[in-house]
Amino acid sequence: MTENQVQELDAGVAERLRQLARTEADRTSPWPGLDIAVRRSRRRRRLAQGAAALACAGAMALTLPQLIPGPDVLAPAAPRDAGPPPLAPGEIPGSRDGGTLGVTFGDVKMVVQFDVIVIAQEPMPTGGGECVVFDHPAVIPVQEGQRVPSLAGFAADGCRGGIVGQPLVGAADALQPFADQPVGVDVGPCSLLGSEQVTTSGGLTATRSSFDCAGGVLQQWVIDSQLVWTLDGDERIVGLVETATASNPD
Amino acid sequence: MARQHDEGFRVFVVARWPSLVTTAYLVTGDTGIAEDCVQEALTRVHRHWRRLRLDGDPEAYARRAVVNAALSWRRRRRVIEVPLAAAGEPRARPEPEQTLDAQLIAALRLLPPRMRAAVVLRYVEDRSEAETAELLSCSTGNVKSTAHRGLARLRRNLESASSAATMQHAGRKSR
Repeated sequence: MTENQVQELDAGVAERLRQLARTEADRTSPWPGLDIAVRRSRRRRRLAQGAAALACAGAMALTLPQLIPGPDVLAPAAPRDAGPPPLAPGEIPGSRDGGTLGVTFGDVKMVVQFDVIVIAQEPMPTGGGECVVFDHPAVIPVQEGQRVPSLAGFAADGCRGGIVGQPLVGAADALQPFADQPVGVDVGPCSLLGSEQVTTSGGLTATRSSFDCAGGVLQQWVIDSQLVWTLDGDERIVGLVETATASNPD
Repeated sequence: MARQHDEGFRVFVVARWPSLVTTAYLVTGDTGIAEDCVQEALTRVHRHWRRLRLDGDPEAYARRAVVNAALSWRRRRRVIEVPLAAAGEPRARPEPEQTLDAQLIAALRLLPPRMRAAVVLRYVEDRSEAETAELLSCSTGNVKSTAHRGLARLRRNLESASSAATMQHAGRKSR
């Protein structure tokens, strides 16, 4: 065998392999598999970006109050910049434009971004308590950084977390300031108590889920695309009480 | 803008899909896995499409991602391989032509993954040593020696497959 023969694959064999591979490749098609994979990847990326934005926002929320002079040094804020007044337990805040809401459940930090905050006209019942999670299509529940596709998954693993509306894409918008009213609540590990259809005092049909958490009993109502969270009897959760219309997923 | 971005990517996929699957098939020896590898690689390309289209080489990036996916697939697959005893009944005896193709693929698959990739890229796809080295993320010297040893081993595999087939053929004739 010559040196040249050792250095080259026989032309017939190489051609045959090429032909065989081409024939196999002709039997395949990129669609629709690739479309699905790209969509999945996009969704994951948005979630990751949301998590990164969360981390930044969390850091900002921690450091900003220390950097900004106290209210005795600053001029009084314009009325429109002032945060909403503290709510009594069970009270529902007024409607407002979209924004983000940062929360921490257990060891999970989350941001919920809303297009429009819409408030139910009737006070919501607050008996019971829950950490809510459900499988509303516009809302992605997150558990320790992972996407959990259904309520069943949450219930099985024990809920440690909360809810993400549309994941944040890019930095938080100045018009939707995360730090406007950041609220952090650590409710610890939670387990699902139950989920049921209820009718509010205003006659609206809602899905109510209750979770027993280490930090209290948390509950959520889902009314169409609106969400309400409350943690009964604990003032810390007051700022968390929101009703939202989540933005539509792509 | 996003639509333009997607349209450009679709055109790229349609143009390059067959060639990428061909490479993946030769490295993995399985059409389904090859498809998965290419899909995984193209998803990565899509993620960086804007940058790659402006100042990169999408095809080189995609091919490198395909080779990586094909090699890492092998690593993953080893863990989940089904024991021979659990495999189904053997298929009907293939036609002589198919036997030859099957022998070729089987001989190629007997090579260790990186060696096989080096042989495929260097000798089947006729890529230069530098190109192969870039795709495999190693030095040209490494490519030279790996491909050389791989080629010798492939020849041995083919020879033993061919003599086994001849003996089988002779055995059937004598019955």
